[in-house]
Amino acid sequence: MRPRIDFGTAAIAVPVALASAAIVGLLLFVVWMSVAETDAGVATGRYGLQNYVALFTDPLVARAAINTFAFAALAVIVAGGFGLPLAWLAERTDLPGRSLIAPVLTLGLLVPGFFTAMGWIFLLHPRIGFVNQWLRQAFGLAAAPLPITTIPGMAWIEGLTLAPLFFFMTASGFRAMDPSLEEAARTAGASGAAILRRIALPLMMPGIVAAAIFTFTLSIGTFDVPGVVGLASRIFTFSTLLYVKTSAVDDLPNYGLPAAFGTVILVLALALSLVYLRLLRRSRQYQVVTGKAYRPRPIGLGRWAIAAWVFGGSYIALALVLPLLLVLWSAVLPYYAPPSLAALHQVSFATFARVPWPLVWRGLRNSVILAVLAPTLALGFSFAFSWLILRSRMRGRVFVDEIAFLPQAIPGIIFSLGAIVVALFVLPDAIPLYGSVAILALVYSVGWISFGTRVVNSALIQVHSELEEAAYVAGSGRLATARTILVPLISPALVSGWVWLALLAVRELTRAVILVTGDNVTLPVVTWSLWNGGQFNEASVVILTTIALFAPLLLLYFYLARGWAAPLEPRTDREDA
Amino acid sequence: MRKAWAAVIGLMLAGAASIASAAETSPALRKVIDAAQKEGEITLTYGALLGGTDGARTMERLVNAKYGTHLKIDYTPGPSAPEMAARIAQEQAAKRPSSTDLYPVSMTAANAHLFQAIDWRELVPELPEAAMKFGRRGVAYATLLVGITYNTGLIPEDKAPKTLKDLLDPQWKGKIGVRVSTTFMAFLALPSEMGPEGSVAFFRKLGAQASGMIRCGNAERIASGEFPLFFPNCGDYEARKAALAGAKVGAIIPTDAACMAYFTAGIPNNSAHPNAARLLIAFLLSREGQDFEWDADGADYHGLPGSKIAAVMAKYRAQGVNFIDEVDVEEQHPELLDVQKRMLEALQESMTK
Repeated sequence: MRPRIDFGTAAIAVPVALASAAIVGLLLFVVWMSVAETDAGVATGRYGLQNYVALFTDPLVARAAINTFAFAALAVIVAGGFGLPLAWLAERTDLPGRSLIAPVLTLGLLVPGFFTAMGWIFLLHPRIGFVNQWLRQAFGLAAAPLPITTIPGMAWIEGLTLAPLFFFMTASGFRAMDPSLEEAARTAGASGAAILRRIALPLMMPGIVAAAIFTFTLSIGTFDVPGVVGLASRIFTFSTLLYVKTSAVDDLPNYGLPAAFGTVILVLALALSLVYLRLLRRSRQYQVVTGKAYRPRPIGLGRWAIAAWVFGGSYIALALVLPLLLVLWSAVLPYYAPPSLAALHQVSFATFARVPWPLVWRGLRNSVILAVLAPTLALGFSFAFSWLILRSRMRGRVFVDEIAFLPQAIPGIIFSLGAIVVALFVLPDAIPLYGSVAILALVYSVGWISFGTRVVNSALIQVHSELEEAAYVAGSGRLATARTILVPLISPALVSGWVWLALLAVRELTRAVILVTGDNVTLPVVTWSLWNGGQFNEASVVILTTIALFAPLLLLYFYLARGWAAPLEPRTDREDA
Repeated sequence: MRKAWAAVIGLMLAGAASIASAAETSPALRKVIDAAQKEGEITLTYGALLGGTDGARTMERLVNAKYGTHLKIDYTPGPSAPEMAARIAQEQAAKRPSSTDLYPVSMTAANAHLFQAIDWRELVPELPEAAMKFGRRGVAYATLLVGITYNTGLIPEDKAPKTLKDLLDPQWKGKIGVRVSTTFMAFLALPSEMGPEGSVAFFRKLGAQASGMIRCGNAERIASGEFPLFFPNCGDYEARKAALAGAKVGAIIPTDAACMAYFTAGIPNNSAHPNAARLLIAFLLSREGQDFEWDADGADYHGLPGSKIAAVMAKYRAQGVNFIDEVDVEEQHPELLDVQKRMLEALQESMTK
């Protein structure tokens, strides 16, 4: 019954084609860079495999590989261990105050990763961490009982910072879940645990696997925690080894090695995406949002609500309160010192006067523009990708999904370098992208298509195609059907994804730092440059400012989102009565 | 009436000062001032040096007061020096104006002819010839005394290591943070110092001794005691700045391996405001500029009259310390940069064992 070709299909295919061209072009650029020889940052026209040889013949690489995979796997376990239960509690239960979970999780994202890592060092470093110092004194221990300078310690920090991502990637799926299956199981006498294990989790599997793969690949390439904790304690992962290897003595960067590494990660990402695609092929079994009497119902927690709050509260204390306290503490000191009575006497607001406020305001203006523009573009691209993958019968749509997954594998630095090359050498002068906020928005949005498509895929999978088919029968075109049926039904996922990406825009550093030329400076670049220049305390003030400015907006969003997401909001007990 | 007289005298004094200042201005400098005035601004995409945003504001005020100009300094924090150098190279290849009008010059960047060769003595006659580096493509405006940074709260001055050999003492095992790179260490490979094999062996032993790697600019990690010692630092200026802010941090110049490096500045070939950039560098090399640099970065150039770092160096020299010019070594012995790479490899290798 579907129309063969219409304007809607073409309108959806065009952004996919453009974004795919950008992604494939960037991938080719990565591969080219991994084999091209450069002189003072400019291509010489000579090629070779020296970067791959350097990568695979280095004995340090094998050790770094083991460390990296252990770190990433443990980080996924920690992120999932917190993010998944919190998503379930927030979306599928009657936990009092559950609507606070999402806003609180998002607040933590405004604290840069390197600050969180520093906070954990001051807390659990084997020698200077005050928890370890206290435990050693209290129990007369010879060694620090909780050393953070280990792979599990690093994975713990990384997992805590990635838990909100896991939460956002799975929450919308929980929210949209059809309760009839659970109710049928309950009627048949299944216990709560059995329902969770045999009904809820299998239904959520695409979302969970997507979140796990996504956080795993993110952890492999991440630098914040390995750079601050690992490098300082002789534990090398891929990212820190690359950092050390590319800290060239000849004062010009060696991008070939990261590009070779990026190519290897690319292959890994492709392999992981195949696993995910196998799940998608069976996607019909996950279609839980149908046109029939759909209304999810929350699960009563009873006395378990206290345990649930202890669990959620522990996460908030560890992942949000501790880093925020560190930021606050360092913002009111003239120079960083561990908490002590002596340091307390130095507390003042003098640091606030030393902050480069005009630069902060310029960065803020650009970050706000990016927080609106980049997520909108990214989700627009992602919806188009997901629709083609899951709703069209286009040949080769499997490859489209592969392409959508790949930006995740491209190192951020390479992404930005590719954009610089295109802006400087490919685009005509009439398109002044170089040095603009627009280039940042484009680079961010294309880079986030992996995340966006995972979010939209997970939501679209759950919407039964019978709803669209009914619209087609009624004469609606594809674009109109997407706009009037699909988008409203998956709006909770879209809105959650948008907010998540807006937050990423506010904290994105790796891609921005290479592309910033003056007018397009962003807030994270200002924070990073202060930290980089030894102005740890001034950087803390900027982070506090960021939180003070964005927290009310976030809370406003969550207040409004309750109304926007109404069609899929869980029915309350009072409504049931 | 008294007020009126005071105003007249004030005006006369100001006029006399202005005439004196004009008399001091050489024709070459006058030409640069006029051309800079026409350009009107300086784009400065720089790291954390020159005092950052506050520094840019101060420089703008001081430059305009000194030369009677109305220049505007547009400062933006930049990426790391290697990334910025690559960006300058790409912008030149694309025939676009540079995103910064001045930048620190490295030997590789200078060899790639990314920066203009300038005889700075035409603008600053008191500048020693030795301040001009890399075939005059860069000029040193601050001297860095490279050595060890330490936590003065944890290690009393008399107990702190005094030589590189001291760093290998078992008492410091697990207490040393090492820099991620071996930049500024080529001089150790000179036959008069440790020699190529000796310097590589030293870094191998240092790697075994070290607790981890950090980068320059992380003085809070030394002040917190996470790393009681840090070697090689990027210069004693960091400890000086941190100590001024109240941190318990100090610097040691190893008596057996004292070297000096520099903050250098050059003007990219594709600078959009080359004359304004020249004027800014000329200012940095003036007494007022040197005082500004001392306040902003904790360093000035030892070869200029009235230098504060020269007084610090004189104190060390009185103790028999001989400073080797690292930049001169790199220029005269480029082959040592390969040894410097081997030092880094040895350090990494021993740190991952």
